[in-house]
Amino acid sequence: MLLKLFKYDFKASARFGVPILIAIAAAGLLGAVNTGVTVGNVGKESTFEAVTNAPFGEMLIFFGMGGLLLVSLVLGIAAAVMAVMLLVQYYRSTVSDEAYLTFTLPVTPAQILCAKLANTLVWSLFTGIALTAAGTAILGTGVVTAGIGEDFVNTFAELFAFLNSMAGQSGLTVVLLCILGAASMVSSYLMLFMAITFGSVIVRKHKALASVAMIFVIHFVMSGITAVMQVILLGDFTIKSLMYDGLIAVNMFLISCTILYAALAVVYFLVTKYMMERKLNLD
Amino acid sequence: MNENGEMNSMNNETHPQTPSYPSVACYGLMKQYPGTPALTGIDLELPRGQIIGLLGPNGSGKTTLVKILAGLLRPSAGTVLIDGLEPGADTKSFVSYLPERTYFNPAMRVSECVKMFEDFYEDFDVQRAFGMLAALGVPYKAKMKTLSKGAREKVQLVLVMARRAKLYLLDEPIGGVDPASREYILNTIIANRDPASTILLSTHLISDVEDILDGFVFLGNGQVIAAGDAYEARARHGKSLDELFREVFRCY
Repeated sequence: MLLKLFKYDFKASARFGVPILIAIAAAGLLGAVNTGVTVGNVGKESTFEAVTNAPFGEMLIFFGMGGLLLVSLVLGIAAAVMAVMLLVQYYRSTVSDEAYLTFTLPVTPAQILCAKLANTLVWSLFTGIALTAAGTAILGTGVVTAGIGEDFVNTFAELFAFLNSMAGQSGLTVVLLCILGAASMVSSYLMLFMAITFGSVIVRKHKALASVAMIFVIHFVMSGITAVMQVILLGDFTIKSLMYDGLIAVNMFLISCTILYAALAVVYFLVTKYMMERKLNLD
Repeated sequence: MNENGEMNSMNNETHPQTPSYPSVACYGLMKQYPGTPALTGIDLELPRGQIIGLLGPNGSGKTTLVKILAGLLRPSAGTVLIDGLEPGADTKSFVSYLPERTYFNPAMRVSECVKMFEDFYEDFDVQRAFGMLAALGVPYKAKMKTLSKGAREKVQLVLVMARRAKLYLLDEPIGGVDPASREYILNTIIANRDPASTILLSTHLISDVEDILDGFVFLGNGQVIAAGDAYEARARHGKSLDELFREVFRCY
């Protein structure tokens, strides 16, 4: 049933997700062309100015940098729209009229929540991959056009060689950082789900407004609590860094933060599940 | 409880293979919204294989009761049993619920809605659904948002009735539709009823549904005012259910 729920959530998200991913790809392509044209024309001022009498240098900077800024803006907006639409989809299927279907399917609230979380994470991952690909295309075009590809590759090779030389210590740190990032993302989405659900159960009208308000309120409160806990963990890290050599203290700090986010995620999940089971407030 | 202090239950000509417990049983069922009591102590047993009208004026608690049976609301107190089980994921697999609202994503095609029901409900009869949709002239490939409100409601009714469910909960199925559509909807309900399944039909449009009802429950101010066999009530009082309803709820 979980897979079926995920399938229908995924298909529903694809209706807006695919166009957003296409927009990111198009923006990346345009950004790459813009970078290629800009970098490729550096040093051709004299020829251009002789023919057109136009201030080529300024135009190059204006169109090149302006274009890049515009592309960056489009990419940022696309990522934000994806995140907002995923939350809107959660609201629609668990609070609005569509919730009548969601909550009469022969599944448990925990399964509903798991499917929605998995779907949100998958589309966030797609967005991350698309943004990385777009950024790589823009940067790669600039590097290749400028003819510094070999230097660029060498720099990266040196960086990797440096990391490899520290693999005994840094390998684990990199893995722990990735796990912390994942725990933080899961915790954030579950907090947003909880806020939306909480907003919908405390009012009888204007549920969308209440849900948005709760997102801000709960985010504000939880940010404060998380910040305090992280300061405590940071204090602990400072003490441990004096006690241990190398990256051991860093790794312990990352593990502590991961446990904190995981614990928060479990709390958010259980609270949301409880509200779905016992406090459902459909119109 | 009825006027004689007995449980509000209806006669059930039990088939030898059907379980002995009722299709729906409510004991001391209460539901309290903040500041508003919606159900104030419902004791009710509904037999299998009947079409039962849940009748009452607006605000009498019909939708709240149906939502509790559908597993969308938790009672504040009391017990609810559907086929001997408390409402939950298990009962949802054999309870087919038609809410007042149209609940499909407007971007979904009719064929996708059918597929979704087929995927989630083991008791869903896809051939039956396509047959009813074809009879309605609903294009399978049409998106829900391109259909009229009436057509969307019909699609939903078709999908709900295409299940071979043990219990059908139909909340105001004819509330917002024209008389011709009402006839279609009622015919659909009768034509697709399974002799072993129970249909609880909530409405305040009694005259429209009276002919198809086997039993009735009058609900007023969150309480069962009267319940029983429709034929017996008509014979005993020499009045239609509609007339009885008007008499009972005159002062509501």
